[in-house]
Amino acid sequence: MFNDEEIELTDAERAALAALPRERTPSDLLEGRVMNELRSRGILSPALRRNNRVATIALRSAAAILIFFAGALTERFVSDRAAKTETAPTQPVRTAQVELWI
Amino acid sequence: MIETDEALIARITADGSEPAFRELFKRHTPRLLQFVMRILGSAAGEAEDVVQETWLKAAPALKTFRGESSFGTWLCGIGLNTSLEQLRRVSRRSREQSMGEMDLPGRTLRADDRMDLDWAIAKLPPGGRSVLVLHDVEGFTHDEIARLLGIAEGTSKAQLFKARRTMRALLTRQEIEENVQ
Repeated sequence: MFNDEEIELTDAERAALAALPRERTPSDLLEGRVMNELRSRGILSPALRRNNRVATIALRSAAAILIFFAGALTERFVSDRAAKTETAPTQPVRTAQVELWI
Repeated sequence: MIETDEALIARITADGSEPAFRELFKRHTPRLLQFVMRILGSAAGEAEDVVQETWLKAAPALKTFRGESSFGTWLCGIGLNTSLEQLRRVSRRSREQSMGEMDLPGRTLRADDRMDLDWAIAKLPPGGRSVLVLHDVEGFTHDEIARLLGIAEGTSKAQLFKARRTMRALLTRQEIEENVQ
């Protein structure tokens, strides 16, 4: 029954419609409202929290490496000491040697 | 280098990147706000509430964005549905009462033709206004409008016919009244 040819726009109307602004600047508050709401719903992660997460991972990795090397050093120290103890002559053997030299 | 919308969306869906969302928000909100204002035929305050609701719906749905249309068009689709829900919520009476407080240009504020046109569009009934904005301002086809609004294509054409006629009458009446004064 109806179609848009029945009431065509005039050139002036077309031009006026084409000239209508397509954008409008929102208030400063709108962005903050949206961000806060999305953060509270857990959809967005604040940059700060993400940086903290990265720092925590780095710190844990560093601690793990430190513990590993500390463990390795301790093990080496204990092994060395055990080896020294095994090779060191006992008191009676030493006395016997001294006696031989004399 | 400017990141594409798709790249920003990928960052948001991957780890909820706030800087990426901020960028997307800044890029698309001015167009969305103007669009919603025209669909509602109302002031910036009410339209900003609808824009906020639109983003709150769009953000968790970003992972479903397939890129079949531009992101702006996809967002305006959500904005349109949110605006129509708002129009249904607000009764006709309270809408007319609040018209007096709107920052829409009235006759006495007339500065140029564009303002007159926005004023006339805002005066249209919601159904016709939606179709006229989508067709004559945003450039959608009747087929697209029918799908967006969930109506028949013929209904979209009929609504446009009535809306154009009413808009023309409003503008003509305004012109006559001004000439008389």
